[in-house]
Amino acid sequence: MRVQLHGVSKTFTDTAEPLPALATITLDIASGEFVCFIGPNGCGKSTLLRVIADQVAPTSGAVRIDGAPPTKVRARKQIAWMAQDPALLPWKTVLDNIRLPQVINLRAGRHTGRPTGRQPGEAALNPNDLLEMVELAGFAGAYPGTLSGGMQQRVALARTLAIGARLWLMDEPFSALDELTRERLTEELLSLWHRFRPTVLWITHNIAEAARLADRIVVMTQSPGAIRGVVSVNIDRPRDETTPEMGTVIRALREMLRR
Amino acid sequence: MLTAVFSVAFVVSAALISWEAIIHAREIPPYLLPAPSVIARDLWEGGPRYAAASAVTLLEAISGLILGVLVGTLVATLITFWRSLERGVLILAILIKATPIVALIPLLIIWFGFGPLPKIIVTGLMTFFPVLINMHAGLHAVDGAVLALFHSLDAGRGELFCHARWPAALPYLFAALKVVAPLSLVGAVVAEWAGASSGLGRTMWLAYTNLNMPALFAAVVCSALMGIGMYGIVVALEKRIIFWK
Repeated sequence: MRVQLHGVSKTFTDTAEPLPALATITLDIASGEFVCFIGPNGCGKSTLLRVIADQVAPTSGAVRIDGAPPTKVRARKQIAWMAQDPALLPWKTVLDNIRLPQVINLRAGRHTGRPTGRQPGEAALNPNDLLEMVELAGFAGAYPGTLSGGMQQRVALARTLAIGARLWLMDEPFSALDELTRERLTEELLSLWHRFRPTVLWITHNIAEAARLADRIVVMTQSPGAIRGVVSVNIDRPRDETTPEMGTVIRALREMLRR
Repeated sequence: MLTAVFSVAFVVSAALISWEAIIHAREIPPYLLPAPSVIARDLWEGGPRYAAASAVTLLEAISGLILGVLVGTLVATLITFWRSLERGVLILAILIKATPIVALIPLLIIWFGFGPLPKIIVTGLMTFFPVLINMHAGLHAVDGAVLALFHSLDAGRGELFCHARWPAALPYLFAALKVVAPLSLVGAVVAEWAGASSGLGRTMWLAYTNLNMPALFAAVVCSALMGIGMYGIVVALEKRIIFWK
């Protein structure tokens, strides 16, 4: 799905003093593109993602997802949201947690005449297949409380896939995990992206991670959040950070963030 | 488990033995404070009488408890769906809580007679507030990440309630039940004191007017044992229902 931001800004007014979180942001993200947003804490990257996810309304400007406002797209369950907290329901089994998007809001399925946001002709994603995809095949009946942090985030990833959305909004999804688990999950996610080709908007404050994942990297600055620059990465995946091309990208990002 | 049994047995028998010893050493008359052995004998001899009185009180307590829990849960659910009612309802609930319910018992007896109904109402009034407050907190204990997830799925309020709010509130409900289950017996007994044709409260009142302290204490023991039993049942249910904690 194509995501267009036309002069989007956000100022929080429910605080003691009006808090400008986002200056005017204009950006055009192509369908199937993998875009990383990077910047220091408080640069408004999370706010931007929440505006696109229809969790907060922009103060000015407009968001268009395939030409439609986010509210409409969300009602059709075409936006998948994933954050640092896996947000699993501890009273449901792993399988039932993954089934949740299919159980909730059946209106959306009726609305389009086919189950949620899937492309015509595409086979339904079976929850058991999803479990296999995230390497949790033997854990369908387990409860989240018995799983490690990495496994819980895998379940959340499978649930995100179960939505069948073409737009994935990911707010530092793996940043609470240890380094090794994070690298593995990031690789898995990348292969899933290759397979389904959704548009991915990915927030991180890890330079190497951004360089490894993204087609384009949007570098943001602090208070209020604004775009400092955009770096395109035209390197085939899987990418190796030790190559000179990657070194150039990483240096450029570091340079831009330091300024 | 075994150490727990031992520690309870040790503490209880130590308390009973010292109680017995003090009565004998100071020669305290039974109409002031009966010895445990005297109370035990009275309980043994009047067994069927105490059992019948206990059954009446237990039935009233459980009926009132169910009433209080149902109303408390229902009201908490209601103000979760209609947020505009929240403040008004909570203030009203605090008003009821702040009313000395004991003072209303004679009025309730005039209205509803000496039967079980006034006892059930008193017990219901006493138990509903802790349930309401805990359930209200529990239904709002869903964390932001889960709310964001349900929002992203465009879930309705009913769906959010069934899948997230209600199960999240269950541990809070059990925390309230641990308080109100024994409290329900207090409600029933106190209501019986003011006027009843049967029940442990009546047994206590009769014993008190006759200065029959062994009988008074025997009734207290019955009430305490039932309170421990109800608490135990709540804990056992909690372990089964809240399996994910």
